[in-house]
Amino acid sequence: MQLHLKHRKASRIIKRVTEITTDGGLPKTGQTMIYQPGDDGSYQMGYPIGGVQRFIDNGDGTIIDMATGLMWIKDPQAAGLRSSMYWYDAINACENLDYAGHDDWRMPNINELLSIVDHSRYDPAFDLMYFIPFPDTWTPNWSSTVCAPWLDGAWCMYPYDGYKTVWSRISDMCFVRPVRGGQS
Amino acid sequence: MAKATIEYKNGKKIVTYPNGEKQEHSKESLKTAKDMFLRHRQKIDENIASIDDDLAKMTV
Repeated sequence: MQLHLKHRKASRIIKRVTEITTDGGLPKTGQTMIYQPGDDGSYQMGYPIGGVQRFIDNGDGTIIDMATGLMWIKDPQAAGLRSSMYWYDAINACENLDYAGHDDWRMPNINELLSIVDHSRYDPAFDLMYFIPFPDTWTPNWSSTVCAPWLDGAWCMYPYDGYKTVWSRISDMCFVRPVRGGQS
Repeated sequence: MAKATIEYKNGKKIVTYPNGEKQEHSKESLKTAKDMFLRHRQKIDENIASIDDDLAKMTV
């Protein structure tokens, strides 16, 4: 029964996403400094192209990423996700979240989570205009992606530097930054 | 082979890269970088210890 309801929920996601999807593609890394011709800073490849503003603040506590079509919660603490928690609890917290008029929030997968990293910054490694960090940038944000070579672990990301790491689904507690929308 | 040159002057590490770019590293910036790697290593060590613990308990 639960699965059935989830499928109905998914069809609503697809309908809503059509309103915010873009041409898509890999987002820029954020590096603008050129250290050597041919490096990331000289090409600055990725979306959005043409210097278009990437993130849109909806003013209701949510942020739209024009590169990925994803909607993020600007400040998860304001949405009640104040403390670090076990992986299973974090998934349930996202699934049960009703925030800014949306009830289809979920925990981001690791690709989605890494997509907001700005590699020109650290502590935290994302734009503070759009993403309010948790108090401890050395406690990772969970992703919903399990670590294939070590199934006790799930991939996660240190907000401090955007480093992709693995913490235990059994014993570790991390923060969570819910997302909604995207391609399926 | 392109190679960077390194010199230490006035309490700073100065690197000149093959394209002529110069970067100065202060003690503080290197300590910040070291702390970053230590933090990464800490969790890796914990995960390895956890697996070692599992392996030790998996007696036939």
